[in-house]
Amino acid sequence: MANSMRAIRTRIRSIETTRQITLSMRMVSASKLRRSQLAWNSLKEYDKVSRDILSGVCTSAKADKIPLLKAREVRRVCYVLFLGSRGLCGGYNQQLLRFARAMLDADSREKELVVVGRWGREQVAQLHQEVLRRFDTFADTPNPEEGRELADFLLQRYLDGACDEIVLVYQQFISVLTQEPTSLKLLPMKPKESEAPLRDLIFEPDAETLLQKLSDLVLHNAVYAAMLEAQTGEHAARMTAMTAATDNTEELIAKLSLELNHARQSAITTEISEIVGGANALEKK
Amino acid sequence: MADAIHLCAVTQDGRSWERQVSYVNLPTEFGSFGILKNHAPMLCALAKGTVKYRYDGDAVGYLRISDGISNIADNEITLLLSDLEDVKT
Repeated sequence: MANSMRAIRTRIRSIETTRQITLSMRMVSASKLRRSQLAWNSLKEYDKVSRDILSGVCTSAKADKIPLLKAREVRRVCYVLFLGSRGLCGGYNQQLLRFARAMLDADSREKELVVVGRWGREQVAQLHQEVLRRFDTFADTPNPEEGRELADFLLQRYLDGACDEIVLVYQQFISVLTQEPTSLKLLPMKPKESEAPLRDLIFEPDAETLLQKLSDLVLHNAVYAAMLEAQTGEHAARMTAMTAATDNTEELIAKLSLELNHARQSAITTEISEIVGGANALEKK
Repeated sequence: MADAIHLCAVTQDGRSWERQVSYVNLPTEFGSFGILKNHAPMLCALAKGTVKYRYDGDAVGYLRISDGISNIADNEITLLLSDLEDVKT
């Protein structure tokens, strides 16, 4: 009996330690979530304004002169997969990997894969697609320079003609509890053509230079926004997973405490019965 | 002259700045130029420098900016910048 009580106490202590770890991880994730969500929300306004301006001034005739806006025959597609930087975030990474696998399998064109995130070197191998480059040194809340580094790499490949289409694959952040795998065609860009009739615009210095500059800006924003959205989703997923883990440890501790009390109670009952039995035996003598 | 132009600046890190003004002077690679109300629609590349604006009659303000793009349409000037600083002089 004493042995079983000791075993239960040891388990409770071990679960309490786990609880402290999951609780700390939840708090760290909550703080990182706030930071990346703030950065992401801040970027949205800038992104919207730049897209609106591009849509307002872009016509198909002008777009044909800008490499980023001009559609060309697609022979090779570059998929950019935004995985998490580490595990312990529920099904966040696995779900995205399944989505990416289905997408890659369904695409019969020539493909290449760029991975952003430190997680799952072995798991990425299951995609049966050679990884062209892995960006695994980015911070937990990416900064604009890191966004620019990735965007410049992708832009250079597109301009060199190494690939003719670039698709971003990442977890769309819907809410703290829900993220959904999604894909976004980054290049060639297809700005929404404005419904309002085009005004006679003055371009300074000239239309081509400006559209080039504006499309570059929109591209850099899109890549940085995807990075931030993916990171926000990862922190949210980890926070949710750690909250569930903390709740589970609390449940387990309550269950084990009950078991410990039962064991202690039965030990006391046994002891009392033994004493009473001993006293009765002495009386009969 | 009433402050008929809405000048608005946004940066990539989410900072935004706006004010009703009557006159704006924007720096470009080929020199600076001024904008009064009812200016023709214009898209223009900005150079690193200082934006000068007039408001509340004769009051003058300055914005130190990095390079960017400005869109001028319907008395609304939007500046897309990578950096921005509101300076007094």
